[in-house]
Amino acid sequence: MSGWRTALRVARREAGRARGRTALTTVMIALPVLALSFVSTVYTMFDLRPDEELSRTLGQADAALTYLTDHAVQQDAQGKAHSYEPSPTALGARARLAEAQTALPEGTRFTTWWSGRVRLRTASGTGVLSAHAADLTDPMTRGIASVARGRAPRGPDEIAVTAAGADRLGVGLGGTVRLADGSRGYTVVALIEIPSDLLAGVLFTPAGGPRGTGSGRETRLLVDAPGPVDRASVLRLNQRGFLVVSRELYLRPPAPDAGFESGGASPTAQIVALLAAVVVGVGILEVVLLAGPAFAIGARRRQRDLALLAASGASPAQLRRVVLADGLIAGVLASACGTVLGIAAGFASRGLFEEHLAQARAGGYRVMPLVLAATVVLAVVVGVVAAAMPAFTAARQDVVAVLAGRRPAGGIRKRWLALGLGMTAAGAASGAYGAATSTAPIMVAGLFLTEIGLVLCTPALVSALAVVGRILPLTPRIALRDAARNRAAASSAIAAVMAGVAGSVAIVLFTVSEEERGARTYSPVLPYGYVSAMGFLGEQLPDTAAVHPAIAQGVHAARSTLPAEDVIVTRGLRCPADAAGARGQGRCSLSSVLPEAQRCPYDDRDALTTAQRRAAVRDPRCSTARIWTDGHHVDVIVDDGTDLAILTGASGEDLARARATLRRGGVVVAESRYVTDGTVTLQVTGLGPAAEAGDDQAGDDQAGGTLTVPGYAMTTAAQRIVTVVSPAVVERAGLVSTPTGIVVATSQMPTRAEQDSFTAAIDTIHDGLSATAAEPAAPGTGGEARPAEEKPDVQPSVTVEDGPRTEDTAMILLILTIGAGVVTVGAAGATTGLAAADGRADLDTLAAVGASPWVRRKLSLSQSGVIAGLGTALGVTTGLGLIVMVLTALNRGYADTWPAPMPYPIVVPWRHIATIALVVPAVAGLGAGLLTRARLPIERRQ
Amino acid sequence: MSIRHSILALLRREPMHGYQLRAAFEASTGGTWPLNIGQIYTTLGRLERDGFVRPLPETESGQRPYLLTTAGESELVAWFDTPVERAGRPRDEMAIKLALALTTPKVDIPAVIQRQRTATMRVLQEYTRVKPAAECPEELPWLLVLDALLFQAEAEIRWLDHCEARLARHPVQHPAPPSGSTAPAPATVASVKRS
Amino acid sequence: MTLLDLIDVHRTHGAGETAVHALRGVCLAVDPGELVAVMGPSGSGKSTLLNLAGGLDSPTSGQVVVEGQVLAGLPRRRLAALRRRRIGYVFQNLNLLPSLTAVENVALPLELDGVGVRGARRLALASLDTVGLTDQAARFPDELSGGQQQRVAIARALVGDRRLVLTDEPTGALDSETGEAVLRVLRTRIDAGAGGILVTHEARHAAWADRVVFLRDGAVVDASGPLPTADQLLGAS
Repeated sequence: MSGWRTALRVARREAGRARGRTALTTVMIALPVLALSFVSTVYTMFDLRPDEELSRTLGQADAALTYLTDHAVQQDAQGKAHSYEPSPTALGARARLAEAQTALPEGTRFTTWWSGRVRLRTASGTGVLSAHAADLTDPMTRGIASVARGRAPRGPDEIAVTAAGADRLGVGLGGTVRLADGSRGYTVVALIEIPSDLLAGVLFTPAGGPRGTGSGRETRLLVDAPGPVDRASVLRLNQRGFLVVSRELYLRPPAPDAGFESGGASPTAQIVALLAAVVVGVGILEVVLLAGPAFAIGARRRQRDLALLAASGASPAQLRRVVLADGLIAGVLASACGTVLGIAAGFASRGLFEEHLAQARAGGYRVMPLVLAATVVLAVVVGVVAAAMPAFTAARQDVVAVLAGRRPAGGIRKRWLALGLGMTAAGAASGAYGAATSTAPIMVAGLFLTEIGLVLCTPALVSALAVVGRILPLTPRIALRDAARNRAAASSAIAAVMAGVAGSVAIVLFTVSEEERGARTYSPVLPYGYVSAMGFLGEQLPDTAAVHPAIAQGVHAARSTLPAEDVIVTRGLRCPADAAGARGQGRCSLSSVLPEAQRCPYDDRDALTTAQRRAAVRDPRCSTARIWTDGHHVDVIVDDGTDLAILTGASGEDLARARATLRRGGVVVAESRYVTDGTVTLQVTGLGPAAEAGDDQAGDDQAGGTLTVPGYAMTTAAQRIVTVVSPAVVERAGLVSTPTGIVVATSQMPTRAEQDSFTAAIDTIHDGLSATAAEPAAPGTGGEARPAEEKPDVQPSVTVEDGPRTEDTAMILLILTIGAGVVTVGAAGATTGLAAADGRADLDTLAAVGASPWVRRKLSLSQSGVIAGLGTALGVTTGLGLIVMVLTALNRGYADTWPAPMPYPIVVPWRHIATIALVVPAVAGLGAGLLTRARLPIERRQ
Repeated sequence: MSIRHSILALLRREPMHGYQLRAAFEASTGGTWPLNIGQIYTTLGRLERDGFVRPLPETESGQRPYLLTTAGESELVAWFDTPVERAGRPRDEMAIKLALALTTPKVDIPAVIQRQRTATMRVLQEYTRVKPAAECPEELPWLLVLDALLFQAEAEIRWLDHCEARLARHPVQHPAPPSGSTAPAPATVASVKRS
Repeated sequence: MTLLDLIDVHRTHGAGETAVHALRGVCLAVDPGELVAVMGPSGSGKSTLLNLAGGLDSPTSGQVVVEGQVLAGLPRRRLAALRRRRIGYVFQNLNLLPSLTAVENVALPLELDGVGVRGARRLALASLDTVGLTDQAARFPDELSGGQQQRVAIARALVGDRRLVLTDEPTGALDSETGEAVLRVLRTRIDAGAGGILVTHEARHAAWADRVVFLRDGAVVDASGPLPTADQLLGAS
C-alpha cells in the first residue's frame, strides 16, 4: 500500500509538471466519459417520468379514450401496446360518446382532442401543418397545451398557433390564418405551446376546425370521472372498441395477468444491446490505444528517473505502479472533468434538443447517477489499462543502458507476434463461422479477436518495415526507424488508427451497400432531375376547352419557376364517354401481360418447402429484383414517340427503335420479359359493365379482352418499369386519351426554392380549376368530430425525380471520415509527441548538422505519416474484410428465404475508401507538420 | 630519478657498454633527460663496486660492455617492487612563488597565474607536438614518459585554474607593508575553510 | 582564406537588471590547418562562442564571418544551409541520430543538402575511411563504442568539402586513451587542411591545438603567446 502512496505522489507531481501531456491524456479519456454522461443526461431528461408523460397525453384528465374499432380491443394496462381487428364501418362521434358514457360512471365529463394535419396558407405559399382541435378552456386540457400569450380560443373563428407555427404562417397575435383553399379565415388569439410537439402547428376550437385533411388524424376523448378509471372500466371500454390510457392504471399498473396483455421486449432489443456493446467496446479499445502512447511518453520521459528508482532498489512492481498511477490520476481527472462537462453540456443543450431534434420539451433537469458512476469507474479502469503496457515496459527496461544514456530499443517478442498471429487467425475463423451461421455474438467476438490480434502483430510489422525502409529518403527513413524504436507506443497508435479506420470503412461500406441496394430496387419515374406535375387538372377530366388554359398555366409556371429546358404535356388513358360510370369515373387502363413462360412458378403458392424455396431462389424468373417491379401500378403513358426522349430519357438507337415501334402502332416497355417475338400482349381493364373499378390484376378472365401489338423493350430508359402506348393502340383498345399533367425537362436538379414555388403555382392552378369546375364544396364543416371517408380528392402532386435517397449517406460518410480523421490525427499527434519526447536531442543534432527548420516539420510529418499511413492501410484492409464477412453473413441468411429481400450487394466505394485512405493520413501528416514549431530547439535568437 | 636503476634495467636486456647505454636510455625517454657519458661511467663504476654489474672483456673498438649480475637482478626487481616516494620530490617552485605572492605587496597575482599557465600550456603543446603521429610498440616507452610529463603539466594547469577560481572567490587583501609580512590574513583562511 | 573570423563579438542574454553577458568583445580567427582550443571554466562563454561560430546563435554586436560570409542578418534557412555546407559540429555526446547507421549519419548533412542518396553515401564512406571506420559503416550508433561514435561524428563534420569543424568537449565522455585517439584523428584532419575550434576544459586536450585561448567571464584573458618577462610579473613599482 505504501508503494502505491509513493507512486501516486510521484504521478501527481508529474501530472503537474507535464501539464500538456496530462491535459492530452485526460482529454482522451474524458471524451468518452463526456459523451456517455452527455448522452445519459440527455436521455434521462427526455425520458419522461410517468406523471410527465400523463400530463402530456391526458392533461388533467383521468383517462384518454381513442376509438379504434367496433370490435373489442386488447391492450396492456398502460395503453402502450394494443391490438385490434379493424371494422369496415366506424361510429360517428356522437355514437362514440354515448358508447363511452355507458362504460363509465355517472357524472363523468368528456372533452375531445382532435389531432391531424391541415393545409394552410403560409408566409411563402401553402403548407401542411399539424393541427389540433380542442377546448383549451377546459381544465382537463391543462398540460397537453398551454397558452403562452393571448387567451384560449373560444369562438369557431378563433385559432391558436405554436411559436414555430407563427413563424411558418407569418402571423402574430391578432393576425389571420387562412386555409389553403382560401375558404376560411381565423383570427389568432393565442400563442400556445404543446410540450409534446414543438413543430409548427395550430389549434382550432372543436367547432371551428376543418376536417378530413391528411392522414394520421386521431380523436381522443379526455375523461374526467368522479373517481379513478379502474381496471373494470378499462376492460369495459376495450369491449366497446376503445383504447384507454388511464391515469390510475398508468401510474400503478396491476400485475401482468390482470386481464391485460403484456408488452414484452422486442427481439430487436437484443441486437441493439449487442450493437451498443460493440460500439462501446470498440470505443474503449480506441481510447486505450490512443491514451497508451501518451503514458508511454510519460514513461519514456522519466525513463532515467525510473532507472534511478530501480537502481536504488525499487522492484519491478513498484516501477509499474509509478506508471500505472499516471493512468489512475488521468482516469480520475478525466472522469471528474468528463462527467461534469457532460452533464453541463446536456443541460446546456436542452433547448437545442427540444427545438431541433426531439421537437418536444424535456421532462426537466436530471441525471442518471448509476450510469454516471459506471462511467467514472470505466474511465479510471481505462486510464489504468492504457497505462498498463507502458508500465510493464518501464518495469522491464534495461537500467544499465538507461543510466548510461543509451536508448535501448528492445527486441521484438516473438511470443507476442505468435500470439497476435494466432489471435488474428482464430478471430477470422470464428468471425467467418459466426458469419456463416449468422451467430452475431460469435461474429462480434471474432472481430474483436482479430482486431486485438492485429494490434499484437503491429510491432513486428513496424520492425519489418523499418528494415525495408533503408531505401527511403532521409526523413521518412528516420521516422520509420523511430517508430520501430518506440515500437510499443507506435503500434498502439497505429492500432488506434486501424480500429478507427476499420470501423469507418466497414460502416461506409455497409451504408454504400445499403444505398446501392436501395438504388437497385429503386425505380425512377422520370429521368434524373426532371419534374412532373400531375393531378392538378382534376380527376380524369375530359379533354375539354376548360383544361387547356390550365395546362397553359402549368407550362408557364414550369418555365418561369424551374430551370426548364422543355415542357411536355403527358396524356393518359381514360374510359370513353359512353362507357360505364356516368362521367367516365371508372378506371380504364391497359396493362402488359407477362407471358406464361416468364412467370415465376412459385408466385401463387402459399407454403413452400425448403427445397422449393431454394429452387425459387435459383430460378431467374423468380429473381428478387423482379419482386420490386412486378405488381407495381404504373400509369400508362400515351405518346406517339415525340416526347419519348423526355419521358424516359432513352437515347441513341434504343430511342430510335422505340420511336419506330410507337409509330408502327406498338407499345414500349422497359422490361424485356414482357416482349415475346417483338410483340407485347396488353390487357384492357375497366371497360365494359363487368369491370369493377379497381384492381387491374383482379382476375384472368376480365372483360375487355387482350390485344397483341408490336412491342419493344427499351434498354436506356431511366425507369425500371414504364409502359408507353401509341395512340393507335389506345384506339384499338377502345379507350381515349386525355391530358394528365406536364413533365418538365430540366437542365439541372431544381433547388428546393424552385420546387416550392412551382408547387405553389400548381396548387393555385388546381384551386382555380376546382372552383370553376363548380364541384360541390367539401362537406363536413359541421360539428361532427370525424366525417366518413370522403370521395378521394385528387390532390395535385409535383414530383421531382431526385433518385434514391442519398443525403443521409453523404452525411454519414462525412461524419465517419471526420471521425476517422480525428482518431488518426489524435494517434499521429500522440506518437509525434512521443517521438519529440524522445528526439529532442536528435533535433539538436539535426540543427547542428545544418538541417533547415523545415526538416523538423518534415520529420513530424513523416512520423505522423508513418502512423497514419500504416494504421490506415491496415484499417482499410481490416474494414473491408470485416464488412465483406458481415454482408456475406447477412446474404447467407437469405439463402433459404424466398421471396427473399434484396441481398446486400458488396460494392466497394473506392472513392470513399480512397478519401479515407489518402486524405485522412495526409491531413494528419500535414496537421502534425504545421503544428510543429519550425524551429530547432538548439537555435536561439533574440 | 635513479640512473642506477635505469642502467640496471637496460643491462637486463643484454650486456651494453657506456655509449650503448646512453643511446638506449635516450631512446626510451625520448631525450627528456639527457645524460652525459661521464655520469654513466661513474654510475657503472659504483654498480661494479656494489657487485650489481660485472665488466666484460673489451671489444675490438675498445669499448667495455657490462653484464648484470644476480645481485644486480635482485636489486632491479626490488626497485620495480617499491613505489616511488612522493615526499622525497623537490619542492615546487611555483607553489612557493604563489604562496609568497599572496603576502608580497604589489604583485598582480592573476597575471602571475596566467603567465605561468600560458607557459605551461606552451610546454604542453610542445610535448603534444612531438608525440609520434602513429603509435607503434617501439615508441611505447618514450610515449609513457611523455605522458607523464603531459599529465604533470596538465596537473599544474588545473592547479592554476583552481587557484585562480579560489582567489576570485576570496580576493586577497594585501597586508600593509610595514606591519604584516608574517602570515596571510586569518580571516581569509577561515572563510576558505568554511566553504 | 580565413575559415572563421569572430570580430569583437558581444553576446548578452536577457536585458536590463538580469542581463547576462556571455561574451564581451571576443576576437578570434581560425585559418586552414589550424586548430584553436578554447579553454575556460564553466560559464565562461565557451559554448556561446561555439554556437555563434556555427550560426546557431547570433551576436548582440560584432561580426561572425564564416569563409568570407558575414552571418549577421542571414535568415535561419540560410544559416542552416551554411551549417550543412561549411561547418561540422562534434559534441560531447548526442552526436549521432540513433535511427541512422554510421554511414547514414555521416551522409546526413549531404542528404539534407539534397545530394543523392548514392552520392552522399560514397562521400560518407570516403570520410569514414579517413577516421578508420570503413568496416563499421553499417552499424547503428548503439552498436559502436564511444570513441567510434566520436570518430563517426568527426567524419560527418568534415564530410565532403567542409573545412570548419566546431567541437564541444568531444572527448568529455571518453577515457583519456580513447579521447586521445579521437583527437589524433581530429588533428590529422586539421593537418590535411581543415580548421577548427576545440572547446575543452582539459589542458591536455587543448594542447593538441595550435593556439589556446582562455576565456574568463566572456572575455579572452589569455592566449598561448610569448612568455612574459619578470618585470611584467612583478608589476610596475
